[in-house]
Amino acid sequence: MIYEKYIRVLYLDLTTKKIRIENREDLYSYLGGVGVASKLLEENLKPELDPMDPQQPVIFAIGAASTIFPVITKTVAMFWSPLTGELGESYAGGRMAMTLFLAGYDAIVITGSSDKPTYIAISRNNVEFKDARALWGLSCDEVGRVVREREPGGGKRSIIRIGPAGENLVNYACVCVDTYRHFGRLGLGAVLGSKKLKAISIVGDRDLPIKNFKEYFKVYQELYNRVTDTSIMSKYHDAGTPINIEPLNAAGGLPTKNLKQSVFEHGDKISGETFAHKNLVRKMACTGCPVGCIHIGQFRREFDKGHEYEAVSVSYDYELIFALGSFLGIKSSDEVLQLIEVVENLGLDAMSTGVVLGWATEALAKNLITLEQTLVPLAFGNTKDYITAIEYIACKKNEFYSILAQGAEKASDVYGGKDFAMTFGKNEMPGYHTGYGAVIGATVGARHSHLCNGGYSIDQSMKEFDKEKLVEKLFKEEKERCMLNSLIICLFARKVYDRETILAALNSIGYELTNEDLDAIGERIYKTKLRIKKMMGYDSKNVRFPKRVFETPSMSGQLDEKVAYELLDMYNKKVEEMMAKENA
Amino acid sequence: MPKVLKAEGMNKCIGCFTCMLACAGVNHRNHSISKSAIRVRTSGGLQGKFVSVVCLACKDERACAEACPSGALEKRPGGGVILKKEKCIGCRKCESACIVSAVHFDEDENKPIICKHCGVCAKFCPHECLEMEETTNDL
Amino acid sequence: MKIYLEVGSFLKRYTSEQESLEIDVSGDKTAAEVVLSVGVPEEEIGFIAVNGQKVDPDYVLKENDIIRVYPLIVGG
Repeated sequence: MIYEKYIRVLYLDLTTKKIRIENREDLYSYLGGVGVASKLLEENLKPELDPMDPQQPVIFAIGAASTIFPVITKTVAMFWSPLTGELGESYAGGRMAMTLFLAGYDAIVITGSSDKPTYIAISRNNVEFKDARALWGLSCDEVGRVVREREPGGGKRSIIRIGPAGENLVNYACVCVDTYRHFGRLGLGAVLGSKKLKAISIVGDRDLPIKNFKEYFKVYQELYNRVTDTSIMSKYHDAGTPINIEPLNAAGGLPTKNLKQSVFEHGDKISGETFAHKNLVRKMACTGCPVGCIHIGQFRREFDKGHEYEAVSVSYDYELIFALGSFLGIKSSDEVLQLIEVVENLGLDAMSTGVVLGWATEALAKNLITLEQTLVPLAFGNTKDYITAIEYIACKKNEFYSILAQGAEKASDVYGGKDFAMTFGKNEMPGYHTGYGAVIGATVGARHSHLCNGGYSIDQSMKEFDKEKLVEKLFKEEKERCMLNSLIICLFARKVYDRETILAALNSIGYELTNEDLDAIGERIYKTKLRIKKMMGYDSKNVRFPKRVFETPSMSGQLDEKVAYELLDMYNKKVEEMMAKENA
Repeated sequence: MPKVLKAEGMNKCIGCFTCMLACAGVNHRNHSISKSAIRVRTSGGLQGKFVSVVCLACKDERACAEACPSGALEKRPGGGVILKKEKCIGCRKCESACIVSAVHFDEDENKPIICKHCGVCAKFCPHECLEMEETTNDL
Repeated sequence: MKIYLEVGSFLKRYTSEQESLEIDVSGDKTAAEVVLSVGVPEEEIGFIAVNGQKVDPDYVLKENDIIRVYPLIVGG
């Protein structure tokens, strides 16, 4: 809680529909965000029970400096992932952090499950469990509209919701946050679906006087100027992350057609420039961020004969253009947007969906699965049939789609094709085939994301490949991001928030921290996450790399499986050393 | 010459709310956007465009000042009004009188939130949606 | 000798909005040197390709080479 030495936690029990609030002084040293969330997850987890047991918790937490400094905009969700069977950790922007902050809570712990569909309405002086029976089955879009109309607080409200995919427990169902942002990966949507929790509305408008205004505002202004003056502002605001398509493609690192290729012959048709010229209609920001990296693309759809058109708008980003674009051989920006729209309304993670379909397409071509199972002839570039397949995944149409709804790893367990099931740690791959950094990074990353440790970035910045250096950098960055994610800085601003800046910002709102403190916090949080992963049954030695990674050349050249396992070994040793040290 | 706030670039608005955070911070020493004199909202869900709800600096006839029974809203040179807190009784008549709903109310302090046309919001807008414009003194 | 430099839509902010430049080069110049000389900051350079092939920054240029410089790939 800002200006207080405790973390204010709201506990919600969906089974009893009761709440309780605790001011946790013992969590203060974890700052907030992933620090607080992982401790709460560790406390409330029931490792002896099934991952999707109603008793399992879902934790949401905001950071120590949420909303009050520019680009500190995110909320973290932590849970037991049904997709990987271990740590679920996901971040979303939108308005959630600001509204939670101004509703007066640092963290929410949700346990139990409701017998009937429900949604929760949180405001600064009330928490209610509401009837969501009529909302069950509605798309993310529709649910948003209804809750918006029913709940007061427009302009200071956040609405997070699941779609049919979450209701049907698809392992990679996402949670939509304020229409254009998401808790995308690792299946939080399914966990909420299993609890019959359709949506959460948060209204935040409490009175919160600033202490130490002079010092605080000085830091605020400086940060604001730096964020708006530097080129990060332009890169993310301009064409946005989609500008990555062109350089990645030119450098041979763009995963294409289930990573059969790392160059897409039609890359120019789905480049950031193309989207900007043909489809971009609007840019938006998460509350508290002057950059505005959310890019909205529009396409016209003819939905019936007789010139019946509608305009459809969806937000697009690099990862979606890779997963629902190059990875599936889709040749136009309009078609990519079409696929995004389907995925959005059903409430599925775009990245996992694309990668799963990539596997299925190749498996069908290799006769590991049949048309009787896929029901539609999946083929690279065939948007129409992909749309149908996505709908089938969301509703688990038949036995095959039920398996597919469990992820590419599970699907390849059942039907074969493991060599080209592109997962790292059972999480579908991100859009970077840049080198060992990307591969090892996603594999050792606590949540199996390229964002855990920026491996793909290290691939680009390392002039000469050095195993020791790579492992050291990954390890250091993983811990650093644990600290950044306790604040919770949007990682786009990580260059602006160097250590000096972070300390100035935190100290202006009452913290008394040093650089060494930040080091210790990062490590403390990382150790907590690793303990949780172990509790959930994760074994870092029991990982595989899909062979395809070594068949298709990366941006740094052909990768060698032996080297990959060697690097993995080296990283695991570093972790062992750290865990053996006295508890920080 | 006096200046007034003009929100003429709202088509560029990205909904970052920095203007509101800055207004609440500087003018009310508060972290909460509910203390801001300028409000930015969508015209219905995030798919609708952003609009600003802020004092339009009425000249000549100021409905809010007319409605005030205790004379707490004085005419401001160039347009708009200035709140004299000590005279305000918190009746909220100014809030209902404003035709564009730009008078907000601070329920914690029991006083209306009146835009001062100070220009802080414009200074902190990253995309030049807000500007301060010179205008004639009508008083 | 003449070489051609393409900086693309993002990096053209450093070259007065010119995406394509024709440059006269004398002596042995490396690709990186030329890119830096037109004003692209070193930290913004992702990689350089010459005649469609990715090259090391110290690649020595030849007559009529077409250089394409790409920004750093940043994700999210």
